[in-house]
Amino acid sequence: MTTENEKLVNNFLEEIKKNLPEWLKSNETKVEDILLEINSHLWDSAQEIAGSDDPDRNSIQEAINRLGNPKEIAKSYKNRGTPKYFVSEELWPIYTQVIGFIVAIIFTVIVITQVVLIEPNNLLQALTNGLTLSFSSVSIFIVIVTAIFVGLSHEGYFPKDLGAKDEAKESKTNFYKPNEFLFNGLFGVLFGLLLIVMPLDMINLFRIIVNWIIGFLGGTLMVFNSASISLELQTLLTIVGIFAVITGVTNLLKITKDIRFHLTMNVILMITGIVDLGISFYIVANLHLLSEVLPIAENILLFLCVIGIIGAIVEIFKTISTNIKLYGFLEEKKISSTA
Amino acid sequence: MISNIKGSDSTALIESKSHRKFLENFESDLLRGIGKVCVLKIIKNHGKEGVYGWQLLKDFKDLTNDKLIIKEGTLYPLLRNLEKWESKGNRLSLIKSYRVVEKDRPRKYYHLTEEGEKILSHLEGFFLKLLEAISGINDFQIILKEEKYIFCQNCKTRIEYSDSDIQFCEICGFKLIHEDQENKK
Repeated sequence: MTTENEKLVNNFLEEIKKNLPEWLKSNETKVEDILLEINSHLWDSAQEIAGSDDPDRNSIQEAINRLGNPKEIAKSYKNRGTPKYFVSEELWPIYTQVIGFIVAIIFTVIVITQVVLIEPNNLLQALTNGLTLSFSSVSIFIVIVTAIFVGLSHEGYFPKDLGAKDEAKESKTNFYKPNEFLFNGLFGVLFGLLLIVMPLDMINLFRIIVNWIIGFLGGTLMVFNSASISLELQTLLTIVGIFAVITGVTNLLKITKDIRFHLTMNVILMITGIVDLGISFYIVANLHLLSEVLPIAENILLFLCVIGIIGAIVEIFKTISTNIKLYGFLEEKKISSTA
Repeated sequence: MISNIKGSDSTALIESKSHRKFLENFESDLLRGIGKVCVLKIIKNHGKEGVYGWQLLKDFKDLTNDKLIIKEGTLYPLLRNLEKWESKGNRLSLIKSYRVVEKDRPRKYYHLTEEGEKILSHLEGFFLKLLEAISGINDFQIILKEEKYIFCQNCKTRIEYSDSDIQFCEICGFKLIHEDQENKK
């Protein structure tokens, strides 16, 4: 085995290594494993061609030719993932999540800035400006993110190579989040009870927090009538409190792992979501109730209500979608247990 | 891995570019699947001890009477894919590997897993039944060794007839109907 022959083999292996996908290159053990195997193959092949244990240069070159183009060999390691448009099916969920996250952040920041700081007295103008600005900013980010994900798909990246959680493990357990249920449950029960028992104190606490934020941003503090609230507002807060307690208790009950029970609890959460939506619409129709809590421009109050309504709708659809998934999971389990 | 069937002139090309492109795409899709079945079958032939890459290719060439053009280097990505296949959170390991050093040379031996054996039985059965089904259209004859194997009546998985105690298909769970049972009917 001469140095020249070794150099020939090493150059070939180096060419493969250079062209391997990035997700593979980052794992030195795997790269070494691949190259060792091809190296063994090459020498086995060269020895067979030469008919001796010490192959000459021509036999090695012939063995290299039989192995094929190093770039093509390296490229074969990229053949992972199922094509879906230009982004692979495996990366698609992360891609849509990133896009959704960017759209939400940009839209929220721009629209809130327009409504609260730039056009506080003209909601329509603020929303128009916000949407126009959001659209142009979002388009640029979508193009950048798409280009990145197309590149990653082409290289054969999988979500786990990007540090995402194990999808297979996740899908089986993602309906069960005990910490989230416990937190939401305790918070809901406590918040609901406080709203029922001491509504005025809760409103005053909310006003203090709002004034603290205004003070932090350097604005003029608001003056409130903190001595009493109307009976209508008190009744509304009691209803909100009762449903917050129901939501809290439902979340606490969801700590049990039974899927069927989860399905039932989610139906209750869907009903409370619809009630929340109804309350939000009631507040829009009776905006004086909200201005009793926060004496600020009606447009801003209306904007807060719209956010509340969107939140309630999203929550209802999230619960429906979870229930559809749980039902599918239950059916799949039923089929696999009978098979 | 299989690039083409050997012809007498390796430099000859189909003249029409569009014909050539269509046939290249079609044949490469077809050969990719067939290549996997053949590789799994050769690994199975070597039992629990398994086989290393170069020996596998040597067997491949011998068993096909060296009639195929093989891109040797692409065998290893294919083996890696069979060892760690995954798609959208679904995973399978059809083969497993272990490393040994022979004559100062590190070798990686591959053998079939239990899952691999099941999948191969299905692929073999499916492939043979498919060939049998299309034989009439394409004017060739397929004679399946029905005395040696039975094919799952549902998913076409091939099962050795000696395993007549097997009542259910390991792939789809279908209750198998053995020939003697059918005759009684």
